[in-house]
Amino acid sequence: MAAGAQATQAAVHVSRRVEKPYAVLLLPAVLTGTPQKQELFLPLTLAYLLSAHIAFRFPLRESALPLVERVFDDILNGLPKESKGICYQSVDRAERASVLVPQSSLLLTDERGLHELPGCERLPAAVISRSEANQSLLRLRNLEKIDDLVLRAKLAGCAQLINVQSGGFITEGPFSLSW
Amino acid sequence: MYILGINAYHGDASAAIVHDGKLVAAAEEERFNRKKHCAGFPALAIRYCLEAAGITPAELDHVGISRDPSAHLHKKILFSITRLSGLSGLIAARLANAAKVRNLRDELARSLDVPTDSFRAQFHNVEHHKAHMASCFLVSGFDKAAILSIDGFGDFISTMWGQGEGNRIDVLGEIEYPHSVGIVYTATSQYLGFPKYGDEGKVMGLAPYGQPRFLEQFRDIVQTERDGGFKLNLDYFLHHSEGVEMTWDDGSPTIGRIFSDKFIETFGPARQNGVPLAAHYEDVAASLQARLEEVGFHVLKHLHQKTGSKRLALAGGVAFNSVMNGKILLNTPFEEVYVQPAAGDAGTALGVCYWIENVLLQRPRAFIMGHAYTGPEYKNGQIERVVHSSGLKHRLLDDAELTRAAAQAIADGKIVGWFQGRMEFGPRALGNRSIVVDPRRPDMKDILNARIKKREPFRPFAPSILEERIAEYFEQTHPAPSMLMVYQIKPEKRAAIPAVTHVDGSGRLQTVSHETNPLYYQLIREFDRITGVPVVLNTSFNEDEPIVCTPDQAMDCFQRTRMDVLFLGNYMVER
Repeated sequence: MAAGAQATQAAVHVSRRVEKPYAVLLLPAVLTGTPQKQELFLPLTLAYLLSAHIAFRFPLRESALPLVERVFDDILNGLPKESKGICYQSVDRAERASVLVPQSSLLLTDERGLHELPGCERLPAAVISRSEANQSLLRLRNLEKIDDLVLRAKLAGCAQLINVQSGGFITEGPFSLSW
Repeated sequence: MYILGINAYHGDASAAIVHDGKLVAAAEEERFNRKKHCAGFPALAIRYCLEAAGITPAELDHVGISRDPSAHLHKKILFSITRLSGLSGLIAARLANAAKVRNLRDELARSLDVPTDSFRAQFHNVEHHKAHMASCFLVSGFDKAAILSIDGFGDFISTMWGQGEGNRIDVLGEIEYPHSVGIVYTATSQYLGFPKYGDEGKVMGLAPYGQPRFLEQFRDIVQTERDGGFKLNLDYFLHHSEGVEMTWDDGSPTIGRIFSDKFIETFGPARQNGVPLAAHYEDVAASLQARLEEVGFHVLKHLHQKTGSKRLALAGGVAFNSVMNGKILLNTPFEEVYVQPAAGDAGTALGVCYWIENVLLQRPRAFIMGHAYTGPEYKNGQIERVVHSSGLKHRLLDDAELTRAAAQAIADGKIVGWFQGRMEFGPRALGNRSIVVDPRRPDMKDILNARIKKREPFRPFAPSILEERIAEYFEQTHPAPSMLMVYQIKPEKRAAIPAVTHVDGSGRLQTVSHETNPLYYQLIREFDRITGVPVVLNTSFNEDEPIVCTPDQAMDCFQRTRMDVLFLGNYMVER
């Protein structure tokens, strides 16, 4: 195992036993298709950040695991490790992933994942989406149903950061420039 | 096919337009709205580009901007959430103006006063440093080269390097926020009492007066790494922990304090702007410059190892450090260097065009940027109105009479305004919007400062030299057409051109060829014929303002200042 992968495993506790409440990271790309590294960065980053407050379950095909591990290695490089765990759940069929969702406290997915999951409209959800200009957006749903106020605030903060960045331009100052 | 490139919401907002692979026009917004380093949306520069191309907005095929919010987005989020203190404060500080957010299509439509649906163009976001890399390599004429883009920050990256070959640009490495030598230079410039956007050049000019006795401290501040990169000791800075406020309330950007109290503990109290410069501060500047060069050459040697290329294309704000540029061939294995005239953020508008043209669309490379004359020009017919309405004495001359008269005026010790042809793109006046004087007079620097420029006395003025005569006057002979290289002047020639010889015997030269600027070339030839010196002192045509763009602005500057004679197109205007 590469040093980076060891670091990841130490940082993001991988366990078969995850205590409730839990969140689900549902990404059709790792369940059905051949995921691209680039498309995993944002959802895995968000999962890592939010996992400081709530344990995650992450259904995926075994074949996607090496790529997921590499992306986590990149994301976690040099960061303080703070996580309640992201539990990989190996599934052989995409439909099996959906059984995790109804009992979850939070769903982190993308538009395609949401589209393929009927009947979860009342769940708190963070949905990675795309703007008309093909920029990443984060849509939040039923945020008020999340009891953990810090988690709620972090979700709101992430959404604002992503959406402002992706929205394009601030047309008049002052503004804050840090990157 | 028409491609419009835009640099907006970085300093030096700008626009460029390319038609079938050829650059039609490029200019900074500041030249039109008269706000130095304007950082807003370049509405006037875009209008100029469309006018120069003779098209309407609806005829554009592609529009791009040198900013990609999606680039490194997860890193921005990680950094913000994990490193900056206080989530709620962070959000409040960063998103104060969230309601003002618009997208490029809307902003462009608004600025051109056309409906949003009037565009048929495809819109693109090009990552900041990729735009920089495209802006130098794709117009360099090099089929294959190493590429370095190095600046403060853009899209969360401060430095990106790679290799260009044909239509490909491969990124080989990058350095992420908050690590940036550009930020170190800006922070130290602030500490030295030069807080304005773009003041870094003043510190570069100050450095030769000092000794680098704080080099070890700067080696602690910027630490090189084995992979060719570098990192900052963040204890010396605030930008990573508190963010840095940048505002452009009046169009000109201002930047909040970047250096921390640790910087003051190490170097003593910061100099207040306007306080006389003690030797201590000169030594800090010298140390900063020395460390910048060490780090720059460290990155470049690594880049050469990775690429094996003997050619280098260089861009980014740090590429304006002409002292470092001038030493590249002496300190690295590179044998040829191309620095695009608008190497800073303005040039990313150009880079966007060629990224779309050559990389995205894979159309063949068909343009070499051999000069910077891409801005507006005015015919004698347009100039005539300005001259007549001034009420000043004037004569209309042909080109030969014009250059002879101007050269004689310069040789007679007069301060000459020289307004010809198309305005330059980039920060340097290169003989079309210039003030030109005699470099042989030791007092000319003081005269210029007293009568027009009002610059700090330590700042040098630059020489323009006939390209074929460079070896007579300079230790190096690699052409420097964009005034972005500083070379040592040969010791035996320094007394001949004292007004352009800096305290360390160097000069930030412009090599002038007949091919790129025949009129300016002829002016210098005439000066050489009269004096035996193929060099003139060339400084920008302005007085604490953006370089003049129009004949009206030139006439206004002429009348406001104590210039002696103005050559406005083919008109010679005297007081």
